[in-house]
Amino acid sequence: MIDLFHVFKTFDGVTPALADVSMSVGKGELVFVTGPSGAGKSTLLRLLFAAERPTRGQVVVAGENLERMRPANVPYLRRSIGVVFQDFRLLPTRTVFENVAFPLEVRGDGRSEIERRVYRSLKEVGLVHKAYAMPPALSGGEQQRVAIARALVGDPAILLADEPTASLDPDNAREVVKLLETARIRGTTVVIATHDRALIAAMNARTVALAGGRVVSA
Amino acid sequence: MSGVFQSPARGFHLVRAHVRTALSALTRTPVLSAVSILTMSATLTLLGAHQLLSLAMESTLADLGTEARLALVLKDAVTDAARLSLAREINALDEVARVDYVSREAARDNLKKTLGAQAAVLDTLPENPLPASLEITLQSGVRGVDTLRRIASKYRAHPAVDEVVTAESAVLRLEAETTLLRISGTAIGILLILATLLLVANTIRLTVYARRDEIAIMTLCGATDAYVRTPFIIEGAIHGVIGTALATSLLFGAHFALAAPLADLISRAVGLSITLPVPSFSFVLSLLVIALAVGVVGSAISVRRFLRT
Ligand SMILES: Nc1ncnc2c1ncn2[C@@H]1O[C@H](COP(=O)(O)OP(=O)(O)O)[C@@H](O)[C@H]1O
Ligand SMILES: [Mg+2]
Repeated sequence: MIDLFHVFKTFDGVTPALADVSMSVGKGELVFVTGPSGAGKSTLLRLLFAAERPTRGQVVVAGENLERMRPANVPYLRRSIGVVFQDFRLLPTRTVFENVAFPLEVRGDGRSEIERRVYRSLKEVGLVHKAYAMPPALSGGEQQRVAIARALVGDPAILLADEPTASLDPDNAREVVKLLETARIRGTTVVIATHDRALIAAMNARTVALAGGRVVSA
Repeated sequence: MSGVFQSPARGFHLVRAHVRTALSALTRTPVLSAVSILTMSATLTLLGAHQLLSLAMESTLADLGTEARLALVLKDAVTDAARLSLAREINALDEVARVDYVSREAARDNLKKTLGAQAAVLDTLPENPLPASLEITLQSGVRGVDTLRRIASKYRAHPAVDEVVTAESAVLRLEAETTLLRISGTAIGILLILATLLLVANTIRLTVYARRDEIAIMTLCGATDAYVRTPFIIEGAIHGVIGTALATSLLFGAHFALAAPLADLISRAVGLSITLPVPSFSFVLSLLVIALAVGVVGSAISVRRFLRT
């Protein structure tokens, strides 16, 4: 589902954020990308949803070689990828329902389809009763669950999570871990960037460790 | 659900969603919307006023142009019959509106009138020095040095004609001025449109900036550039429509309040009678077209910067 071949990424042309990274994630697999701050974890995820282009090397996601992908086709790639961030990235002026509906709105789903899917997704994260709340009125854990509902509402083939538990207390973190696990069980390919040892220990999954932009253990 | 039936439904949902988003922007960022609309209407009013004034000046110049005349100075020996037949012949020309015979006496009287207090000088002369002439006035609409030259050269060699006097240089100057007025009018118009575009693009950029987080999340969720852009373009078009409505009301108001006193002022200051035209339907329509174009292009320019992130 995801393949990287000798990927290099540099922002200033000198210091590498990623250097000669090769890795492969199979369909339905869950993989951790770990490493200290500045190791290149976020950069790697950003390459996967085409927010960055590799300086050198090949990135293949869902059968698409991103190097050869026209910019106009990037939106269609993103419809098969859900992304979750440490800082949730919800719109504070929209209801929980509207936030979760975003991926369906942009692909032009009809009203009833949107309602059906948003409620199903909110039910999975246990927040149906908060559908008409505004995100700032929710706790951090609840906001992250809304973000996960949004990432999964369109049934993407791939779920990317960048430090999804870093701003949560252990209880809420466990809650989030459970949801990511559930997504994997349903067949979603999941890549989680984290330096949270408790999160890694909670799941029995392969770990790719980065340091200074290089894979140090896989 | 087959794809064939699905796509129009999706298209309809999209259009409705875009219009809804665009309308909600009016209330979500009311101050920015108001600034954009007022900017648009202010510059459109300027543009409209400038165009109306240019139209008025051009038509005044055109009226002056019809006074382009030439005179055939007749030889003293010309008989009345020869003079009449020449006058008739010229009168039959398509470009000619009128032929007036100015007798030697009439010419002297005219000169006396022009000289006023100094007219007594004429009486000291032993005889009237002024020749008789035929004054030719061209049809309105037929203007231009070419026509003058053609008629002049045709009659210069006529046995009854002594010489031909044309106001050629005056007409040339008038034509140059009309052309200059038209060119500078167009240039100022284009500058005003560009200024409007710039101002509107800048204000719309602020509304886009206010919604940059939303745009970032939309693109993250797989929104195409067109999807992100469309509501802003609809919003720009709405601003254009409201801006045109305001500008048109202002121009009508200004016309009824100011046209008469202004025409009076101009006539007293430079002695030109000028009629300020009422904004016509097609004039308002062209303002609307410009406003729509400016709103749409301005929005498109502004959103571009926030895409591709
Ligand atoms: N947009 C950017 N511009 C310049 N440098 C960047 C950018 N993004 C990341 N970097 C640099 O790349 C390196 C890896 O960063 P990042 O991928 O965010 O690491 P991590 O997520 O593992 O903490 C860091 O040195 C960081 O400063
Ligand atoms: Mg990071």
